[in-house]
Amino acid sequence: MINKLREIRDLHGFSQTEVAEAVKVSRQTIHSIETGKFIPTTVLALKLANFFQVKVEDVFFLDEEDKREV
Amino acid sequence: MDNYTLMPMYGYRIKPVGIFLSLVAVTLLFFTERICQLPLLQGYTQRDCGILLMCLNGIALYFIAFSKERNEDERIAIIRDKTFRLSFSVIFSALIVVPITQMIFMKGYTGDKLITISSAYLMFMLLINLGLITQIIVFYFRILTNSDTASFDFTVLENIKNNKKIYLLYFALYLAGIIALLIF
Repeated sequence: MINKLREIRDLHGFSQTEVAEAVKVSRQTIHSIETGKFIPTTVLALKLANFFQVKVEDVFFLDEEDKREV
Repeated sequence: MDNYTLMPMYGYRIKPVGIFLSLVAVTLLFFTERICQLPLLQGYTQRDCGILLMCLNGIALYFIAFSKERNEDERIAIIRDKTFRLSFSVIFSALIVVPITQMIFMKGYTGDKLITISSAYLMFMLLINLGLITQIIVFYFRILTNSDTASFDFTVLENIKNNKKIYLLYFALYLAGIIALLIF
């Protein structure tokens, strides 16, 4: 799974810390999601999308490898 | 998983306490000769004092390992889950390997060694499959007491039905472990 969290966060002008505090996780978690090291749960993905007022699919989507497995 | 998880047991504040205790215990280990001369520890040998301090260090490390992080979130929970599995595997392997090595190289085979192995083996089975065993017991308890089973989560039972041979082997091994413990 890939995500555009970094781009969306930059677009809205938020720091990692601000986003982390808003969705009640650590800054390292946001960093891990942005770098693709950690795939969040559906709840956290929805919280992040809700925070940026976008759809979950606008932030997180399947990469080509994941699509092949479907 | 949440129903059976044993940790974290304490809040974040217990972590600095654990670190402090551990530092104290490790530092005092270098001065066991003087420590065992204290009025409170009179009668204890230097080795006993060392063991006591090692135990104190063990308790301190327990506090560190089983306390919460400053920011608890799902990533931390996953990391903790992975490290717990890894540490458990390492300890369990050591429990098995040490008596076997003793048996082979030190020619010191006794029933005690087998009990050690069997106990470790049974503990592993019990801890790893606590959820599985609990679910089976709960299901049959509900049938016996004519309680509602419609709302029951059948995932485990369906897994057993689909992998009968594996589970049969599993329970046979489990019974063998208990029998081995009882015999030796």
